[in-house]
Amino acid sequence: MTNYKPPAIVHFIMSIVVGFAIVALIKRFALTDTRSLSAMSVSAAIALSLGVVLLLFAIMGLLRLAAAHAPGTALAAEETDTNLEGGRARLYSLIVIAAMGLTLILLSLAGPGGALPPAIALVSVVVLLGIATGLTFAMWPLLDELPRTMSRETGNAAFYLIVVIGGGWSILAHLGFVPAPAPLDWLTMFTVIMFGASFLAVGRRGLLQSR
Amino acid sequence: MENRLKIVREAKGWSQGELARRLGVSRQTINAVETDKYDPSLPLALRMAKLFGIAVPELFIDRWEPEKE
Repeated sequence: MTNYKPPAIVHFIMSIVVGFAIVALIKRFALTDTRSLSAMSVSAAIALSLGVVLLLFAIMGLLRLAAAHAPGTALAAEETDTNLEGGRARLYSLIVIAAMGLTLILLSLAGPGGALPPAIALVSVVVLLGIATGLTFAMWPLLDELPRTMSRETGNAAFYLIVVIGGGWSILAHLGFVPAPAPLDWLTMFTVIMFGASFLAVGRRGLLQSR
Repeated sequence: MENRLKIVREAKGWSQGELARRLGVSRQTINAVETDKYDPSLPLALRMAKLFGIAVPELFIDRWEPEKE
Protein backbone atom coordinates (compact mmCIF):
# COMPACT_ATOMS: atom_id res chain seq x y z
CA MET A 1 0.00 0.00 0.00
CA THR A 2 1.24 3.51 -0.69
CA ASN A 3 0.84 6.77 1.15
CA TYR A 4 0.26 8.69 -2.09
CA LYS A 5 -2.80 10.90 -1.76
CA PRO A 6 -4.31 12.18 -5.00
CA PRO A 7 -5.34 15.83 -4.80
CA ALA A 8 -9.03 16.76 -4.68
CA ILE A 9 -8.92 17.95 -8.28
CA VAL A 10 -8.16 14.37 -9.38
CA HIS A 11 -11.29 13.17 -7.56
CA PHE A 12 -13.29 15.94 -9.20
CA ILE A 13 -12.02 15.06 -12.69
CA MET A 14 -12.69 11.37 -12.05
CA SER A 15 -16.22 12.25 -10.92
CA ILE A 16 -16.79 14.26 -14.10
CA VAL A 17 -15.57 11.46 -16.35
CA VAL A 18 -17.52 8.73 -14.51
CA GLY A 19 -20.62 10.91 -14.14
CA PHE A 20 -20.85 11.75 -17.81
CA ALA A 21 -20.11 8.12 -18.68
CA ILE A 22 -22.98 6.93 -16.47
CA VAL A 23 -25.42 9.36 -18.05
CA ALA A 24 -24.21 8.41 -21.52
CA LEU A 25 -24.64 4.70 -20.71
CA ILE A 26 -28.12 5.28 -19.32
CA LYS A 27 -29.11 7.10 -22.48
CA ARG A 28 -27.37 4.57 -24.73
CA PHE A 29 -28.74 1.41 -23.17
CA ALA A 30 -32.02 2.85 -21.93
CA LEU A 31 -31.68 1.70 -18.35
CA THR A 32 -34.68 3.84 -17.52
CA ASP A 33 -37.73 5.21 -19.29
CA THR A 34 -36.41 5.51 -22.86
CA ARG A 35 -39.05 7.95 -24.04
CA SER A 36 -38.45 10.36 -21.16
CA LEU A 37 -34.69 10.35 -21.61
CA SER A 38 -34.75 10.66 -25.38
CA ALA A 39 -37.12 13.60 -25.01
CA MET A 40 -34.82 15.22 -22.49
CA SER A 41 -33.72 18.71 -23.43
CA VAL A 42 -30.07 19.68 -23.64
CA SER A 43 -30.52 21.75 -20.45
CA ALA A 44 -31.95 18.74 -18.59
CA ALA A 45 -29.24 16.40 -19.89
CA ILE A 46 -26.49 18.77 -18.72
CA ALA A 47 -28.17 19.26 -15.34
CA LEU A 48 -28.54 15.48 -14.95
CA SER A 49 -24.89 14.92 -15.81
CA LEU A 50 -23.71 17.59 -13.39
CA GLY A 51 -25.99 16.19 -10.69
CA VAL A 52 -24.49 12.72 -11.12
CA VAL A 53 -20.97 14.20 -11.06
CA LEU A 54 -21.66 16.03 -7.78
CA LEU A 55 -23.25 12.96 -6.24
CA LEU A 56 -20.23 10.83 -7.19
CA PHE A 57 -17.84 13.47 -5.89
CA ALA A 58 -19.71 13.53 -2.57
CA ILE A 59 -19.74 9.73 -2.31
CA MET A 60 -15.99 9.55 -3.03
CA GLY A 61 -15.36 12.23 -0.42
CA LEU A 62 -17.49 10.39 2.14
CA LEU A 63 -15.56 7.17 1.48
CA ARG A 64 -12.29 9.06 1.90
CA LEU A 65 -13.54 10.57 5.14
CA ALA A 66 -14.71 7.19 6.43
CA ALA A 67 -11.31 5.72 5.58
CA ALA A 68 -9.58 8.45 7.57
CA HIS A 69 -11.68 7.63 10.61
CA ALA A 70 -11.23 3.89 10.31
CA PRO A 71 -8.45 2.50 12.52
CA GLY A 72 -5.39 1.03 10.82
CA THR A 73 -5.87 2.60 7.42
CA ALA A 74 -2.95 3.24 5.09
CA LEU A 75 -3.60 6.96 4.70
CA ALA A 76 -0.69 9.20 5.57
CA ALA A 77 -0.70 10.37 9.18
CA GLU A 78 -0.92 14.02 8.12
CA GLU A 79 -3.88 13.29 5.89
CA THR A 80 -5.58 11.45 8.72
CA ASP A 81 -5.01 14.38 11.07
CA THR A 82 -6.44 16.78 8.52
CA ASN A 83 -9.50 14.64 8.00
CA LEU A 84 -10.08 14.02 11.68
CA GLU A 85 -9.74 17.62 12.79
CA GLY A 86 -12.26 18.94 10.28
CA GLY A 87 -14.27 15.73 10.05
CA ARG A 88 -17.68 17.08 10.99
CA ALA A 89 -17.38 20.21 8.82
CA ARG A 90 -16.22 18.09 5.90
CA LEU A 91 -19.05 15.61 6.45
CA TYR A 92 -21.57 18.47 6.35
CA SER A 93 -20.04 19.98 3.22
CA LEU A 94 -20.11 16.62 1.43
CA ILE A 95 -23.77 16.14 2.35
CA VAL A 96 -24.48 19.64 0.99
CA ILE A 97 -22.73 18.70 -2.27
CA ALA A 98 -24.76 15.48 -2.46
CA ALA A 99 -27.97 17.44 -1.82
CA MET A 100 -27.08 19.89 -4.61
CA GLY A 101 -26.40 16.98 -6.95
CA LEU A 102 -29.66 15.24 -6.08
CA THR A 103 -31.52 18.52 -6.56
CA LEU A 104 -30.20 18.86 -10.10
CA ILE A 105 -30.96 15.20 -10.85
CA LEU A 106 -34.56 15.50 -9.61
CA LEU A 107 -35.15 18.77 -11.45
CA SER A 108 -33.70 17.40 -14.68
CA LEU A 109 -36.09 14.44 -14.49
CA ALA A 110 -39.10 16.57 -13.62
CA GLY A 111 -39.36 19.05 -16.44
CA PRO A 112 -42.28 19.14 -18.90
CA GLY A 113 -42.88 15.57 -20.06
CA GLY A 114 -40.28 14.30 -17.59
CA ALA A 115 -40.34 10.99 -15.73
CA LEU A 116 -40.90 12.59 -12.31
CA PRO A 117 -44.14 14.39 -11.35
CA PRO A 118 -43.38 18.09 -10.66
CA ALA A 119 -45.14 18.04 -7.24
CA ILE A 120 -42.97 15.19 -5.97
CA ALA A 121 -39.87 16.89 -7.36
CA LEU A 122 -40.81 20.17 -5.68
CA VAL A 123 -41.31 18.58 -2.24
CA SER A 124 -38.07 16.61 -2.57
CA VAL A 125 -36.10 19.64 -3.71
CA VAL A 126 -37.46 21.80 -0.87
CA VAL A 127 -36.42 19.12 1.64
CA LEU A 128 -32.96 18.78 0.05
CA LEU A 129 -32.37 22.53 -0.06
CA GLY A 130 -33.60 22.79 3.55
CA ILE A 131 -31.04 20.17 4.59
CA ALA A 132 -28.31 21.94 2.60
CA THR A 133 -29.16 25.32 4.13
CA GLY A 134 -29.36 23.94 7.67
CA LEU A 135 -26.02 22.12 7.35
CA THR A 136 -24.37 25.23 5.88
CA PHE A 137 -25.40 27.24 8.94
CA ALA A 138 -24.34 24.38 11.26
CA MET A 139 -20.96 24.16 9.49
CA TRP A 140 -19.98 27.82 9.92
CA PRO A 141 -19.13 27.68 13.67
CA LEU A 142 -16.97 24.61 13.01
CA LEU A 143 -14.72 26.51 10.61
CA ASP A 144 -11.72 28.55 11.67
CA GLU A 145 -10.48 31.65 9.85
CA LEU A 146 -8.78 29.97 6.86
CA PRO A 147 -11.87 28.16 5.48
CA ARG A 148 -14.03 31.17 6.37
CA THR A 149 -11.71 33.37 4.31
CA MET A 150 -11.83 30.92 1.42
CA SER A 151 -15.61 30.78 1.69
CA ARG A 152 -15.81 34.57 1.38
CA GLU A 153 -13.37 34.48 -1.55
CA THR A 154 -15.54 31.82 -3.19
CA GLY A 155 -18.62 34.04 -2.81
CA ASN A 156 -16.81 37.02 -4.32
CA ALA A 157 -15.43 35.04 -7.25
CA ALA A 158 -18.81 33.38 -7.88
CA PHE A 159 -20.58 36.74 -7.99
CA TYR A 160 -18.25 38.11 -10.67
CA LEU A 161 -18.32 34.86 -12.65
CA ILE A 162 -22.13 34.91 -12.64
CA VAL A 163 -22.12 38.53 -13.77
CA VAL A 164 -19.72 37.74 -16.61
CA ILE A 165 -21.05 34.33 -17.72
CA GLY A 166 -24.75 34.72 -16.94
CA GLY A 167 -24.74 38.37 -17.91
CA GLY A 168 -22.82 37.67 -21.11
CA TRP A 169 -25.20 34.88 -22.07
CA SER A 170 -28.21 37.11 -21.37
CA ILE A 171 -26.78 39.94 -23.46
CA LEU A 172 -26.17 37.62 -26.40
CA ALA A 173 -29.64 36.07 -25.99
CA HIS A 174 -31.30 39.48 -25.78
CA LEU A 175 -29.60 40.47 -29.02
CA GLY A 176 -30.76 37.25 -30.67
CA PHE A 177 -27.36 35.63 -31.19
CA VAL A 178 -28.02 32.61 -28.96
CA PRO A 179 -31.08 31.00 -27.32
CA ALA A 180 -31.97 32.45 -23.91
CA PRO A 181 -30.90 30.44 -20.86
CA ALA A 182 -33.67 28.19 -19.55
CA PRO A 183 -34.51 28.23 -15.82
CA LEU A 184 -32.66 24.93 -15.41
CA ASP A 185 -29.64 26.45 -17.19
CA TRP A 186 -29.48 29.13 -14.50
CA LEU A 187 -29.58 26.55 -11.71
CA THR A 188 -26.89 24.49 -13.42
CA MET A 189 -24.83 27.64 -14.00
CA PHE A 190 -25.11 28.71 -10.33
CA THR A 191 -23.98 25.27 -9.21
CA VAL A 192 -21.08 25.02 -11.68
CA ILE A 193 -19.92 28.53 -10.86
CA MET A 194 -20.10 27.99 -7.10
CA PHE A 195 -17.98 24.86 -7.32
CA GLY A 196 -15.67 26.40 -9.92
CA ALA A 197 -15.18 29.45 -7.70
CA SER A 198 -14.43 27.28 -4.67
CA PHE A 199 -11.76 25.40 -6.63
CA LEU A 200 -10.32 28.75 -7.74
CA ALA A 201 -10.25 30.02 -4.14
CA VAL A 202 -8.63 26.85 -2.81
CA GLY A 203 -6.30 26.40 -5.79
CA ARG A 204 -5.13 30.02 -5.72
CA ARG A 205 -3.67 29.34 -2.29
CA GLY A 206 -2.11 26.11 -3.52
CA LEU A 207 -4.19 24.08 -1.07
CA LEU A 208 -5.70 21.57 -3.50
CA GLN A 209 -2.78 19.21 -2.87
CA SER A 210 -3.30 19.06 0.88
CA ARG A 211 -7.05 18.61 0.98
CA MET B 1 3.94 37.44 3.93
CA GLU B 2 7.25 36.01 5.04
CA ASN B 3 7.13 34.69 8.59
CA ARG B 4 9.20 32.82 11.18
CA LEU B 5 6.34 30.76 12.58
CA LYS B 6 7.88 27.39 11.74
CA ILE B 7 11.21 28.39 13.30
CA VAL B 8 9.72 29.59 16.59
CA ARG B 9 7.29 26.65 16.72
CA GLU B 10 10.06 24.11 16.25
CA ALA B 11 12.17 25.94 18.82
CA LYS B 12 9.40 25.22 21.32
CA GLY B 13 9.33 21.60 20.21
CA TRP B 14 5.67 21.79 19.21
CA SER B 15 4.05 20.04 16.26
CA GLN B 16 1.70 21.95 13.96
CA GLY B 17 -1.18 20.15 15.67
CA GLU B 18 0.00 21.20 19.12
CA LEU B 19 0.30 24.85 18.06
CA ALA B 20 -3.11 24.67 16.39
CA ARG B 21 -4.63 23.31 19.59
CA ARG B 22 -3.07 26.08 21.70
CA LEU B 23 -4.31 28.75 19.31
CA GLY B 24 -7.76 27.24 18.77
CA VAL B 25 -7.41 26.90 15.00
CA SER B 26 -7.00 23.97 12.61
CA ARG B 27 -3.66 22.39 11.78
CA GLN B 28 -4.37 23.23 8.16
CA THR B 29 -4.43 26.92 9.04
CA ILE B 30 -1.06 26.66 10.78
CA ASN B 31 0.35 24.80 7.78
CA ALA B 32 -1.01 27.43 5.38
CA VAL B 33 0.56 30.26 7.41
CA GLU B 34 3.93 28.50 7.68
CA THR B 35 4.04 27.80 3.95
CA ASP B 36 3.10 31.41 3.19
CA LYS B 37 -0.21 30.47 1.58
CA TYR B 38 -2.29 32.42 4.05
CA ASP B 39 -1.74 35.61 6.03
CA PRO B 40 -3.53 35.26 9.38
CA SER B 41 -5.97 37.83 10.70
CA LEU B 42 -4.62 40.51 13.05
CA PRO B 43 -6.20 38.83 16.13
CA LEU B 44 -4.59 35.48 15.25
CA ALA B 45 -1.21 37.13 14.55
CA LEU B 46 -1.41 38.86 17.94
CA ARG B 47 -2.29 35.58 19.67
CA MET B 48 0.64 33.84 17.96
CA ALA B 49 3.06 36.56 19.04
CA LYS B 50 1.70 36.52 22.60
CA LEU B 51 1.99 32.72 22.77
CA PHE B 52 5.66 32.84 21.75
CA GLY B 53 6.39 35.92 23.85
CA ILE B 54 7.64 37.99 20.93
CA ALA B 55 6.42 41.02 18.99
CA VAL B 56 4.34 40.59 15.82
CA PRO B 57 7.07 42.15 13.61
CA GLU B 58 9.50 39.52 14.89
CA LEU B 59 7.12 36.83 13.72
CA PHE B 60 5.88 38.35 10.47
CA ILE B 61 8.40 40.14 8.33
CA ASP B 62 7.24 43.08 6.25
CA ARG B 63 10.06 44.55 4.18
CA TRP B 64 8.10 47.68 3.30
CA GLU B 65 9.76 50.91 4.36
CA PRO B 66 8.10 54.34 4.48
CA GLU B 67 9.35 56.97 2.05
CA LYS B 68 11.96 59.25 3.57
CA GLU B 69 10.72 62.82 3.81
